[in-house]
Parts: sequence; C-alpha cells; structure tokens
Amino acid sequence: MKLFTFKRGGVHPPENKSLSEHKPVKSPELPNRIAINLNQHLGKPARPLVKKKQEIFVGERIGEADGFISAHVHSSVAGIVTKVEPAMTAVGILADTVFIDVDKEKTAEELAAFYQQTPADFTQMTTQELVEKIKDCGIVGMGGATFPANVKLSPPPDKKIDTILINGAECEPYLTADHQLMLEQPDALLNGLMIIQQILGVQNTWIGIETNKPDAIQLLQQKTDTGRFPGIQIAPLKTKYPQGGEKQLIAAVTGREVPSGKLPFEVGCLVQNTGTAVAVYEAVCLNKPLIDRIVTITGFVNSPGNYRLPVGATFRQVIDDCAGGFRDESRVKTVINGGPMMGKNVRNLDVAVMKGTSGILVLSDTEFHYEDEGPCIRCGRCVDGCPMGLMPTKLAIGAEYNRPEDLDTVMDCIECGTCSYVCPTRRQLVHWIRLGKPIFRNASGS
Amino acid sequence: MNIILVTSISLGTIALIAGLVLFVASKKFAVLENPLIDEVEEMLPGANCGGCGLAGCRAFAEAIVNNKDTSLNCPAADKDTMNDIAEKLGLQISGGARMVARVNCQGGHNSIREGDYLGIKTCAAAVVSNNVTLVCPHGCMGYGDCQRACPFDAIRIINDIAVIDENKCVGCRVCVKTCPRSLIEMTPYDTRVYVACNSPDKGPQVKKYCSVGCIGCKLCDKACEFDAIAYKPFLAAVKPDNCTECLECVRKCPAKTILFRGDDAMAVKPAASDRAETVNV
Repeated sequence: MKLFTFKRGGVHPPENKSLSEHKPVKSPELPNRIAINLNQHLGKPARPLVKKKQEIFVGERIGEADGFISAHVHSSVAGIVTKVEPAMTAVGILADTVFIDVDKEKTAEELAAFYQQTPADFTQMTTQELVEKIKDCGIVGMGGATFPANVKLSPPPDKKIDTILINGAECEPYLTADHQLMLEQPDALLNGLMIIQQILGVQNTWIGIETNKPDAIQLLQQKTDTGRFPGIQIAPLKTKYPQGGEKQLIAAVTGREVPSGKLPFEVGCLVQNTGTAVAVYEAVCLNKPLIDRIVTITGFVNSPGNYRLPVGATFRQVIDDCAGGFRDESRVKTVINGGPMMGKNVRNLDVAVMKGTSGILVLSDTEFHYEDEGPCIRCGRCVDGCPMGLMPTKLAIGAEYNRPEDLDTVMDCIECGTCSYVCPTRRQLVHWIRLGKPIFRNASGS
Repeated sequence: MNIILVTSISLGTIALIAGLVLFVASKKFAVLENPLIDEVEEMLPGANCGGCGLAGCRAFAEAIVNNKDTSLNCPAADKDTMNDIAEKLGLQISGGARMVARVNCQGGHNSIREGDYLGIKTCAAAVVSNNVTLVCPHGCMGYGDCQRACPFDAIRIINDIAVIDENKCVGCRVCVKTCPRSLIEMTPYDTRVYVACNSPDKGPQVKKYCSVGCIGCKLCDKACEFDAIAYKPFLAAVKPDNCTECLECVRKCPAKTILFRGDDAMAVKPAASDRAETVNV
C-alpha cells in the first residue's frame, strides 16, 4: 500500500484514541434548555431573527448570515425562546446567544421526520440550487475552522479546481468522531462527495485517512470499488501530526505547495472535512440544516465515547448526561474544546457545543502537565518539527521583544502546536507566535 | 637607530596627511546646526517617551528651535522647564493644562474571574488567546503591560489592577498606546473626578461580572447641576470643562464607580512595602 505524507517536520504524539475508538455514536437524551450561539462560523456573527417567547421548530432559522463570509444558524430543538442576549462561547468571546426551553416530544418527532423522508435526487439539481441549499442550511467546515461551506464551494471563476481533498485524517490525539462517522455513515459521506464533485464539475476526489484507522480505509475502499462513486479514491496517510492540516494534506496527496499567504484554490485544490461532506449530503438530500454534530467526549470521564450532540447543549449537560460525568471532579484540571494540540480550554462549563466542536476533552491532574516556560536553548527541535518550515524560536523571540522585522514569516504559521509540544524548555511558542501576528500586521500595515 | 627614525618619520607623515584630510573634510562637509538645539535638548527630560508626538527629545528640540512651533509641548517636562525653554528661544509657549493618564477601571478583585489562564503573562497575549480569566470583556486584566511600558515608573499593579501615580505621571501616553483594551485615557490633572469604568454593557450584564462597574443608571446625570456628565448609553463620563468638583455624583453613584482623586489618593506607596501588595505577574 502506498502511503502518502507531507515531507517537512511533523510529530507523532501519543494517540490515546483507544478511550473512545469504535464506540458507536449515541444520541443522548435532550437537555431541558439549550443556548445556541450566533457566531458559530468564521466571519461575521449571524443576526438574531427570533424574539423572546417566540415558539420555534426544529431547523428554524434563528440567525441570519450577515455579510458574504457568514452563515445562517438554525434551531436544533423545538421549543420556546426564553431570551436572546450576549453570552460566553466555547471559543472565549461574547456573542449573541438564543436560549431555548426545549419541548422534548416535539423535538424528537421533528428530528425523526428528517430521516423518514426519501432522500432527494441531487443529480437532477443545478449547481446554483445545490450551493443555495448548502447556504440555506448553514453548512460550515466542521474540522474546526468553521469556514462557510458555500463560500468555499464557489471559488473565483478564474481559479480552476481540479482536485478535491477530503480530510479524514483526524490527526489530533484523543479524537475519534470523524473515524466513527466514516464507519457509520459511509454512504452519506460518499454521496456528499458526489454532490461536491457535481458543484465543482470535478471527477477527482481523494479521501485522506491515516493508517491508524485501517477499518475505515478498508470500508471506504470497498464502497468505492463498486464503481457507484466515480472519481473518488482513498489516500492512506502516514500517521503523523498534523497530517490533516489543509496545506499538509495538499502536499501529501498532490505534492503541490500552497504559496505563502495564498489559499488552496491557487494550486487547484479544495479541502473539506468528512463531517462537512456528510452535512452537505444531509442538507441537499434531506433538507436538514446543520443542527447537530458528532462530538468525541473523552479523557477523564466515566464513559468516553462518540455522541451526536445538538448544537447548543452546554458542556456541563453533555459531560454529565452523555459521558457519565467526571470520574473525580476534584482532580479535573482542564476541559478543552477540541483536541489537545489545537483545542482551547473553556473558562466555564456553561458554554455550548458549537458547529466546530469536534471534541470535548477532560484532562486530569495526571495527564495535565504545566511548567513555567524557560529560556530558548537554541536546540532547534521546533525548527525540525515545524510542518510549515518556519523558525518558531525566531518568531517567538520577535514577538516577545516586539521586533516586526523578525516576524516576516509569521502569517504562514498554522498554529498546529507542534513547536510547543516538542520544546524541551516548555516555551509557549504558539502563543507567542499568535501574539506576533497582530504585531506584524500593525507594523506592515502602517 | 635608523629603523626608529624611518618608522617615526613615515608614520608621522601619514598622520599629518590624514589629519589634513580630516581637517579639510570637517570644514568642507560641516553641517551647520543651530547650537540652540543641543542646549534645548540638554534641558529636556531625555526620556525619549514620544509623548509630544515626535520621535524623541532630539526631534522635539529640532522642531521647536527650527520651526518655532509654539503649539509643541513636552508633557514630561514641568512648567518651569518649558518656561525656561520658551525664554531661551524668545517664544510664548501656551503649554495647556497638565494631562495625566487614568485607568478607567477599578475592577481587580471587585470583578469576577473564571477559569485558569496559563498562557503568557502579558495583557496583549491574553487578549490574543481569547482566554482572559476576567469575565468583564472591557476591564483591566492586570498582567501589567502598562507597568512595564511606563518610562517614568508611575504604574503599579495593585490587587490585579493598574494604578497610576498621578504625581509621577507626565502624560506621555505610552501606556495609552500599550493597553490592548484601550482602558487608559488622558484626562486633565486638575479635574479630579472621573468615571472609573469602561464597560458600555447594560446594567444587569455589568452586575453579573463586576460590583463597581457603571450600570448606566443615570443617577449622576440627575444629581449634577452643572451638566458635567456626558452620558453615552449605559456608560457615564465626566465633562472636564463643566465639572466643579462638587462631588454630588460621587456621593450618588450606587456602584461607587465615580471616583474623586485628591492629590495623594493615588500616590503609590514606596517600592519596598509595595512589592508585597503587587501581584507579581
């Protein structure tokens, strides 16, 4: 079997996926109250469309896209709006949030209705219709960056896309949501890809899957071998972090390098997450907006696993109701929204699951390790590890001492966390580099 | 003997020629500069803080000597120094009222904090990480970027909040530019009443995260007889021109957000005893 991989740098942190691997996706009982944030996508937050005491149904649009790079937000439950006010979100900023009292019976009924209908035939639809549907359903990239999918699927007319890449690498340690999704919904995934192919008029799709998921590779290989899904191929990827990074995936599969400061369509590629492809299928064929997603709840909880969570359920609810609560609350050190490498710890557990929440990771005092940062000893491990070929040590020092002239390559950093992971003196390199970005922007802008 | 003679004569000749070249060059390429510039620069505080809006003290001296620009004012120099400079140059320098920086926040331990922040201990880094433990999205985080930036050592972090010693503050604006939350504002030294809050949020929202934040109740506006309260929605501000320091608003403010700073109220204690109080970040 030919293995694809990117050339520069990369690390292989302990995977720890066995906690939740192969646990079938479960749908938890609905919470009594949910809080849906209106900034669940990259770009401008959506404008609220509902008012206090308004009765709403499952999939009703409660936030309208405000501007070109923005996305609609839909209600994941039926019930009554109790209030619309700013609240803290899982990404750490205040945003308008719609609080809804859930009508459980009605919600269950309306949710089931989505799956009972016969899927619409997407081959009869025009490109315009398909993109419009994806936009109406508020589909965003579900890998974590949450870029609105309809914008990505309408590249500028002068850029010809010839390769579609699907990221099933799931290179973050602990997370298994995409893996389980590929195992449980392969047909939805492949049909979603057919829709994306039809929109772009391309017959060349690669699904990149790391070799630590052999069953997923085998299953999708069998499906594509039947010939029902022309143009779709499987690319087994070497297990290495960050194999699922957009630029790394392009380099691994096509050998092309995205120029500095440019987007993937410059080299004729388009990268989507597996979750996005399934969401596209459900939006187009079942008219189901993006109102739930598969989330891995793992780490120091009683029953780690993969769960289909409604957007807007709070972290505390899902940890208590789905994952059986913390194993020992007094030993919990941090709760992370996302994976351990790129995720971000949440300030309190009242924040809600968002469209980009791929995992909820609870770390105990044995797994969580913090040391104060030491000085750079110039060992160069971060330089060896950087998948973008940057010099994190130089960039970090440039940010620390406010020297924009040292920060010329800072905008190429994808913030994957490899440098912070390998640093022997525990320097918080990614954080410094993140701080360096505004410094560089201000210096070059004025 | 011969060698010493040859060496000294040849080196002497080279030195003479080089000296001549330098002499000619210094006469030919001499830059004529007003000697007053040096003298004025000598009189300035020499902090190179940039508070005047120019690149440093030298630039200020050049500008004031060459352009006779009377609108220029060195915020770091006291009145006497500026008068001396004006006298030397035969100018009338208006100067204007003395301005000092004030922190529009007194949150600190009055404000609610949540979670852990283990990132880099600077305000700018905390803001970039979106992971500030301070719940108030407008308040002082207290990691001390302004303290480190202040060229006059006028800022201390006391109880997680930046406190400015107004007697030391010269109004150079370095902290104003440094604060990532734009909390620090230049206000006239003589107007000692100000609203120490920066949150434009509505009252109930403010109440959730801070006990001393402005809730926008308008009581100060009603109490003031001199129309000295500018009321932006949900955040009051004092109009320095109208304020008579009657302190009616200070008494009426239910959250004790409006502060009156007497001459020594903000004075920071001596460094040694201060260290224990300062939360070292």
